Amino acid sequence: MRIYIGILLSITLLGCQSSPEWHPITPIMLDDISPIGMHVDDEGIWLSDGDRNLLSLIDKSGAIKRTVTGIERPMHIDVDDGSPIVPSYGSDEVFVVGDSTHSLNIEYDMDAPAGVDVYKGYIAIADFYNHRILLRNPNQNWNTIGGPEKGKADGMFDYPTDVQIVGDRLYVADAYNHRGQVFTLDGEHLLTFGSDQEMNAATGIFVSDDQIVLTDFENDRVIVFDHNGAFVQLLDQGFLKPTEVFMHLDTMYVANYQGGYISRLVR
Amino acid sequence: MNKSIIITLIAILSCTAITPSTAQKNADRDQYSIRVDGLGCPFCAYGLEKKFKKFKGLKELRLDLETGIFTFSYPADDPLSTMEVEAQVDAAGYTSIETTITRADGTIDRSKVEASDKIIAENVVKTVLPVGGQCNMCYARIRKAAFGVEGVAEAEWDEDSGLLDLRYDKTLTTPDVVAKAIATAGHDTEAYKAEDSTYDNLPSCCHYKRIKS
Repeated sequence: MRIYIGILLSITLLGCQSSPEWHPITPIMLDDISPIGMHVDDEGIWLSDGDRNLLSLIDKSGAIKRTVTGIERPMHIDVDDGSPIVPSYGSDEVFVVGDSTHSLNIEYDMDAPAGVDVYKGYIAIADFYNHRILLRNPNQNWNTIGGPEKGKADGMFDYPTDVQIVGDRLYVADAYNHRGQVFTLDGEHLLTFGSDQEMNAATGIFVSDDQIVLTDFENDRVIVFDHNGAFVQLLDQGFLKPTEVFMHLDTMYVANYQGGYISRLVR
Repeated sequence: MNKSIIITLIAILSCTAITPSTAQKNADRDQYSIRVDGLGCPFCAYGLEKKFKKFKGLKELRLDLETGIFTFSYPADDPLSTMEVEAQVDAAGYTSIETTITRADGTIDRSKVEASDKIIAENVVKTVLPVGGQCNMCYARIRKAAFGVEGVAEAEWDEDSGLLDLRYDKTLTTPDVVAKAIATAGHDTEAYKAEDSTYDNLPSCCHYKRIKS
């Protein structure tokens, strides 16, 4: 009998480890912030609020620790070595916020940069109205992927909004093609995923060790995929115009543009 | 009582102090206010702001996302009409609901999407039309197209069901005329389909699933 129970428990635990599902825990309520971009680390949660031209650092209770003003329509941000990197959709610049906030020198004319990611000397920027990704390598050479026209073919975009570099891969939220795409850091297309999920505006993307997550803005959903782009889990409760997703210390954070809160989920 | 008199006096004096500078500011510039419907998506809303920024001479651009009111000033010696402003808004893929222009000389031009005053309540009947669309911006465009038909008393489109609840004066129009106007604006109905080129020119967030014949 004890052997039987032991086997049953082992099977159950193994099952939990192989397909743990995300479930919601208490959200973080915000005070007058309509978040679009988000970055979470040990310092707190950085949020960009395009409506108010505001960048805020909050703690895990939602209390504001710091604010930065003066950046026009800040969108999907990154934080590099403690400094927020902020694309300004309104002024077509990317700012590095610090003691002396400055604009990054970018070889191309952008039209509404919507997302930025910095990783080991690389910089990726989603250039929204040019339907392309700008990618700078550690040797400071710039490359473009897609654009200037929008398109549905692999490697083309319809208003890309968010980017992330992980390892030797570039991940893109291809918002109005309602899908995600994956590239090498040389710009070679590797994978298109999520096209079968009937999303409506895939605005935010995050890549963890084992999963890729997209926000489905208009449908108030978040969809989880594995690294091969296979569907893993649909999260469709508790979101209100989710724009961005981020994972930190086993917690998934989802920024809701409407409603004034950050959803939190754990496995 | 004394306190309220003092507050009133301060208010009057403040207004008096502001008036000369306001008059000077308005002396050579017209003030434009446009209420835009369907600005649910920040990417689209900020896009509208960007498109207008490209106009030379345009200043004091403000977009209030909660009210959908978009304001700016423009030189009075190169006046824009309400139709010209609304055409720019529509060309950018958005839908203007109410436009107010306060001219530098104090006159006001106004246009508003609303039911015609020729409608007689006893003649109003109701029907439901399936209309293709998928977002707030679609809602605004469908509604404006319907109200563009004389005789439409009410037009409410539901995003989830895709149905337009239409009330119209049966002596002034028919559902067929309304369906055709909506299709011309880019949204399929059962009777009329939008031109492919019109559909393609809709903002990407409005690219709904086409209604099949």
